[in-house]
Amino acid sequence: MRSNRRRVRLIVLAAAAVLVAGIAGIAFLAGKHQNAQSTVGIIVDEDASEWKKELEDASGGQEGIKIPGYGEIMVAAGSTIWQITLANPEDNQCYFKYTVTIGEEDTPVYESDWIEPGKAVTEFEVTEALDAGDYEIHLNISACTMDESHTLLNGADVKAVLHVI
Amino acid sequence: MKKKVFAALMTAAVCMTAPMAVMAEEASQDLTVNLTAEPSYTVTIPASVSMGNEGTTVDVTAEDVENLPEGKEISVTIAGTSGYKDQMVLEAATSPKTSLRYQIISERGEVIETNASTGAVGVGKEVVSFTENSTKQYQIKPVIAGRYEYGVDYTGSITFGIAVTDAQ
Repeated sequence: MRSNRRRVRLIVLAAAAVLVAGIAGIAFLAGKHQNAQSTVGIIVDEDASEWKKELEDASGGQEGIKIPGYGEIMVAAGSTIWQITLANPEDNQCYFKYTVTIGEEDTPVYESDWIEPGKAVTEFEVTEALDAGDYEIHLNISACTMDESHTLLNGADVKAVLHVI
Repeated sequence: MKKKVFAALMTAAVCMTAPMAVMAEEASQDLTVNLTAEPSYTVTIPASVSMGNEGTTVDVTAEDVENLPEGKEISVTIAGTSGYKDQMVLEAATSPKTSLRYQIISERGEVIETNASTGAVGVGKEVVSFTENSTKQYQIKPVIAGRYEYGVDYTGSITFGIAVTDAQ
């Protein structure tokens, strides 16, 4: 009689354990399915935590690049020598290269070498003189790191009105 | 005594006329001014495209803004990217090569992304704008879709268009 009760108790405990394990398993699978759906239908790999790290900052930890901007610029008609300050602000931690184009033309009228931070080209010779009138000037700035890799960074296309007088 | 007074008067007269001669000479000089076009504002852009998989908020700052006419603003747009045909994608040196699309949510809340199938382009879209010295923010986040790999760096760059335009 006593051994029968013990057997029944063991069966009930085993059944309860199986039930709890089953419920836990279903809950785990349901949760996993929900997570997968929340990322646009893609099953996210368990190693995703590594992806959460910030990507390597190619700028070497600097906060940003200072880009000089211009409203209106004036140069002399018929002259190939232009006095425009093409600067790389001293706070920058990168080299600058200016490529100057006019209007929709792709061919540059002037291309600088790489300019160090804190330096500027203040006068340069363009490939062709312009007639009097108003033009759109593009000062395309390429930036690269100052280490040996010279990795290209974000750049800028500074657009301004060019008055040729 | 008379000779001494005369000599003193002559000396004084010579001293007075000397500066006049110099002044006459200076007045005839031509004035030459050599002006150089200087920057009239500075915009600080992020150095690189960098984000975690939840994306990140990026600061863009305008400073030294001088003589900006009323009704005008400094507009910062997307002028191009390092991706093929200016697609907003980052690429990794995996084998085979994989890429990861990203989108920018502008200061005004516009979602900017490129998509070949829908024809969406990013070039020309405004990210932030300024009418005075200030800092504005935009968000950049990856689009988790397609083929990509974990644990590798996806890199790329943006060329920002910066210009004084009519205020919107």
